[in-house]
Order: sequence, then structure tokens, then C-alpha cells
Amino acid sequence: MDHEDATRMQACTRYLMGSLSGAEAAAFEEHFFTCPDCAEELKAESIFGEDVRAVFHEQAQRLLPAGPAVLPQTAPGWLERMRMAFALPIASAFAMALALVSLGIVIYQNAIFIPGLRSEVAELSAPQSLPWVPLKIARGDRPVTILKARPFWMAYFYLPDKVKFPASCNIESSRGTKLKTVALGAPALGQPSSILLRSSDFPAGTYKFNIRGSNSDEILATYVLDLSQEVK
Amino acid sequence: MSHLDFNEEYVRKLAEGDREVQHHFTTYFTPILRIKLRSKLRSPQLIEDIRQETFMRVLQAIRKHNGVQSPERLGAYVNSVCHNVMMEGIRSNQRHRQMPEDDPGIVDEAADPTKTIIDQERRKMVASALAELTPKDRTLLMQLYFEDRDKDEICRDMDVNTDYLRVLIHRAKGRFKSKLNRSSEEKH
Repeated sequence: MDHEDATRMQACTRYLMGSLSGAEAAAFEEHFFTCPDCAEELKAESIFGEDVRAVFHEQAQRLLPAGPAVLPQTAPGWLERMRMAFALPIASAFAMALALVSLGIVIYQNAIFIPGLRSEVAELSAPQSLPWVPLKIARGDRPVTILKARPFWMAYFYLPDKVKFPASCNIESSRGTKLKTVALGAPALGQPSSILLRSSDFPAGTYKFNIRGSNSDEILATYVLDLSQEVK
Repeated sequence: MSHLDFNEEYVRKLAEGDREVQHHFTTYFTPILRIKLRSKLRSPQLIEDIRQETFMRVLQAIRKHNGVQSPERLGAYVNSVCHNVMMEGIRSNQRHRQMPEDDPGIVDEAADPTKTIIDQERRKMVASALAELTPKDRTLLMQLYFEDRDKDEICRDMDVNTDYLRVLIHRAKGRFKSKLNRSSEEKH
């Protein structure tokens, strides 16, 4: 192959594209190793390709989030590539918004939520007296008052003999809304059954404590409690 | 890089270890050896091994035989040695031996900091020129150079034959080069 042949058949471009046959490629190699013009053209085209590749690579690196790169298993199609061209900026904006929301959550947790929890844990860890509220089947008119500042209160009651354990206690509001269900085990001999309740779960109002046996839906006992809370 | 004629004097100076000629020799042949090897091999390490082994064998042969029979055919000789080394490398798939300790060594042009700066400047212009291309041309270049997609696959996607693809690439390169030239002129 001489220089005219190489020029006519666009050998440089076709060689770099891998479009020459084996014999043509070998002939062109023999030629460009001895032809300064073809060698220069080949180098220029090669540098052109390397630069374009490097620029695309840099642009892709800037668009992708940090972390190990994951290459697609198969080359994307034409439409997929066009979608990518628009999707990447949108993805970046979305990632930025997500980062801002995450930052807000972290600030909220560190400034408000976690200190609140710490304060609550410290309060609960401190020794304190517990208000005991007796539940009776027949109550008088006076409501039972608990201090709002106390986090817990204890309800205690003596169950009739017909109740067999394990039993359960359903706590309902005055409107019949089921609030909580507590499993009851047999108390120590001569001692009442008791339930520890959170003050914040029981605003002022009337509550029913319905006791059921383990194998029946029949209500074996009902305790009614008029509760008021006092802020002190 | 200015071209020096491959003649008896060039080969003699190369055999004698003339630094300037040796630098020209490696600087001239390194890119075309890499282009040739990249068209056949995937491993960058193997390509560099074969390139260095080629230089070493050529220099040793020149020193041992006091030159080559046809100095003007030095390029063809380098190509032939490279081909043999490559075939040996493919067969053995092993590392090649190192340069002897008494060898004067070969200057690696990659270590030239000026070249790195020039590369960076050129790539800035390339990025600027790429940004001005139409989405279609940019996508075409991306498929060809960045994704290294198979040409037949590109042809199927774009519903063209390989000749037409070559025309498309030629046009894209033409637009690119004109923008690159304009960018370069505006800069100076």
C-alpha cells in the first residue's frame, strides 16, 4: 500500500474504526510505520478520539454521584441515551433535594428529638413515687385525679373469683373506642392485679376496663373510672 | 514534532546512544506503536510491555549489528519487531524481561509536564467544542468513542449501513474540527 492508496481508501479512519480487513490492516501498518504523513494523521485522529473520550468521561464523572461506578450490562439504546441526557440533571436536582431533606431531618433529630428523648430517659431513670388508682366495680361520683406531671400511674383492682387466668383487660373510652388490651397474669396470693399506664395516653374522661377470660368473649367484670388530670 | 529522516547517520547516532536521537526515536514511534497494539490488544499493561520490549530489541539489534541494512526502512523494521514481540506475548501471556542494567535507558515522553499541560488545554477546547455540537452529533461521538460500541450495533440503532456511518462520523469530526479551530483562534 502506498500513500495514495491509503488516502483514497480513508485508511486512517477505517483503521481506527477497525473496518479494514486483516490483510488491509497489515498493509496499512507497514505503510504508516514508514510514512510520516500517515503516521501524523493517524496520531491526530487517535488524539481526537482520546480527547473526546476523556471529555465524555470527565462529564460523566461530574454527573454521577460519588461511589463505585456501575456500568450497564448492555449498551443503552438511542432513546435511552437521549433520556439519560435529560434524566441526569433531574436526578442531580432530586439528589440535592433529598440531601437537603436528609440534612433537615438530621438537624431536627440532633436539636430537638434526641435531646427530648434524653430528657425523658433521665426523668424516667430518676426515683419517683407512683400514683396508685384503685378500680372499683361501683364507684362514687368523685373522679380520680392524677398529676399530669407524673409520666405513669398504676391502676389496681381485685378480680372476682370467677375470673380464670390468664385473662385480658380491654380499656375503652366512654364512646366505646377500644384503646388498649392488656394481658393479665395471676397476681400473688392476696394481692390485687395491676396495670401500669402512661399518663399522656389518658386525658381527662371516663374509661371502662372490661375483664375477659382466656377462652371466652364474655365480660366477667367491668370497672369504670372517671379520670381528671391536674397540672401542678 | 519535527520529522527527522531515517538515514545512516540517524541509525548510527541511535546505536551510539545519542540522547536527542533516542528521544526522537521513542517519541515518534511510541504513539504509532500504541495505536497498532491497541487495535489488537486490550490490556494496557501488556501493550506497554510490548512497546518497551520492541524498543529494547530494536536498539540491541542496531548496536549488535552496527545499524540496520536499510536505514530508510527503520519504521518497517520497528513494525516487524513489534509484530514478533506481540505474537510472542500473546503466546506466552507472560511478562517480558526487564531492560539490562547497563542499558542507557529510554526517555519516556509521558513524564514531560509540558505535554500534560498542553493535553489539558486541548481538552478544555474539546469540551467547549463538544458543548456546541448538536445532540445527534454528540450522541454519535459518545457512542463511538466513549461507549466503544460495536459499529454494527450503532448502524442497527441508527438504521444506516457502515459506509453511511463513516460519512456521519466524517461529518461529525469535520464539524468538531472546525469548532475546535475556531475556539483555538478565539483564544489566541
